[in-house]
Amino acid sequence: MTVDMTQQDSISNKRKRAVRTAWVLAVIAALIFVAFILSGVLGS
Amino acid sequence: MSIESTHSHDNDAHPAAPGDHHDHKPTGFFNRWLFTTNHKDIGTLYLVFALIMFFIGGGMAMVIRAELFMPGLQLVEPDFFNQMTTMHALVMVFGAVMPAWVGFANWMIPLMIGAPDMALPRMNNWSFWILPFAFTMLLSTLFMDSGGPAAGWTLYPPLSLQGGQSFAFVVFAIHMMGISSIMGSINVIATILNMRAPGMTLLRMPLFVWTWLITAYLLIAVMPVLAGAVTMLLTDHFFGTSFFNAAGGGDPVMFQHIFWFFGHPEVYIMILPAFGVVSEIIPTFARKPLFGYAAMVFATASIAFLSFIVWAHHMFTVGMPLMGELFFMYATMLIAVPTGVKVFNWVSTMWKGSMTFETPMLFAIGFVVLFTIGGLSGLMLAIASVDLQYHDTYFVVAHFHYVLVPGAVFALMAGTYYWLPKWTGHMYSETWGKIHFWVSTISVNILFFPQHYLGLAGMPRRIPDYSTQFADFNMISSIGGFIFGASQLIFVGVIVHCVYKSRKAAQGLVWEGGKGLEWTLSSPPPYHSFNTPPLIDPTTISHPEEAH
Repeated sequence: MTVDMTQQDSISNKRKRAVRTAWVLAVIAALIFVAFILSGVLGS
Repeated sequence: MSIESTHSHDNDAHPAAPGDHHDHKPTGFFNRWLFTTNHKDIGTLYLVFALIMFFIGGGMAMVIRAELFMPGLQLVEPDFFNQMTTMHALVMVFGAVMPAWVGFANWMIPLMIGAPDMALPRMNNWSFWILPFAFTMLLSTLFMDSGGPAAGWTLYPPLSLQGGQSFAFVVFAIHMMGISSIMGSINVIATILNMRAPGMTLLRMPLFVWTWLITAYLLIAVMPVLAGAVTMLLTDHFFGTSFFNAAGGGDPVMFQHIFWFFGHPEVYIMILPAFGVVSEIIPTFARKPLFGYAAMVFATASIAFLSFIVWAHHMFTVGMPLMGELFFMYATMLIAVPTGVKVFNWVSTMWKGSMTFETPMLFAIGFVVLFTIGGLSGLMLAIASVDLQYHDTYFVVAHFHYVLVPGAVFALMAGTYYWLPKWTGHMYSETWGKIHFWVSTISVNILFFPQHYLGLAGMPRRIPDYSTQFADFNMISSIGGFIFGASQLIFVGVIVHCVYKSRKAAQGLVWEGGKGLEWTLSSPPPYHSFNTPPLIDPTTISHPEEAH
């Protein structure tokens, strides 16, 4: 059974939101990487 | 019991099912596989890659077990033996188990949540295709003058810094694997959070999807930590820095802290998706809903959280304040609570169920029993005072191999047998599947159980030679290893037969107890599925009794 697409978010809207989620996660990953390098630099 | 029918191999007619759409597969080999953005194709690529890496890593394990068959140096030089132990671990962890789980995630998550594909299909292609280059680079170091990495997969300095120029290749390969893993994880999270079909609330998701969501967060949190650690090793080795060089004011123990801050969650990255697969399989073949769905979700999240605060149990022998030892000891023991919840719930799901024992169920039960043995030896290792005795012995080798081989790898096999008919549209040979299970289960215990005794008797790990008192158990272990290695050829045979030769067609609902959106599609599912979101109701979710 399927539902009418007009009642739902379109796939493209979902993908736009997914891209925003992806950017947030990518920035978090990059910050963790930089933080650990910096902790080494500042600690030594 | 499976639902099947006999028909010609050219399976071109599938029952109409929700979300079915005409296939528009790309034509041509390169178009199909090199440039694909389809989650099913990329899932297949990951799984094939992982299988190849299993055999490469397994070949290295055979070299190790052949050398250890008898005391004395028989086959390889000690330095090459060290390269084998190091590369075996790197290949199995980063090349086999992790990519295999990403393959499962690619194939199953969109099908299980009613999404048309992964959220970021082009990045999906990229995250797979950098892996073969990463591993080509890693394996190429074995043919270089300075040889491959030989300091163990933990890459502890100062030993790891005494390698030659090939070390740069190792670090770059690890960076590429990390980038691949992070991209894959971002895709999984973005897909699960944004692409679910309407009505598929978080607490209606199948357990496999939940465990992968939590795993993906773990990966994003810890892979950059590993990347940072190996980058500092790289600059220490080639650019004269002293992050971990005591002579220059650095601290080699700091590397161990950073490595294990990555390394312990990494263990759960490999095992949490296994928990998810087993939580899908057991209810299907027990014909009962999963006992304690919500408790399973929260137990998974608890394990993930605890995995961040136990890292120093890998370093009790380094020396740390008593309060530190006590903290890491008790925090480690605490993990037994949510893990125990899971084992209890799996057993309770089977309790009074109408169980049948097809190959996926056999592997799932094998997982529950044998993984628990690995968990119990882990509790022994958590005790700081006795870990001083066990540390760096074969007891540790036995422990983590019980967790990873009859643990993670058995769950991978269980999942493969469970969803192979869905993926291919054909039933595999149940007889050969069961033969594979029994030979693997018996041999894996012959392989790893004696290693507990070797460790308790004091045999150190990562050595090519040993005292004659350890000879008998090593010979038994090696025989088990050879049988286990050979028995995996049965696995390949079953898969190849299923894909190319099997004449038994699988229906959409492959297993009569199966619940969940993936079973509403034909087998194999159409190339593009769920372009129109499916309607979610209690008949189409995996764990309906707990749905809100």
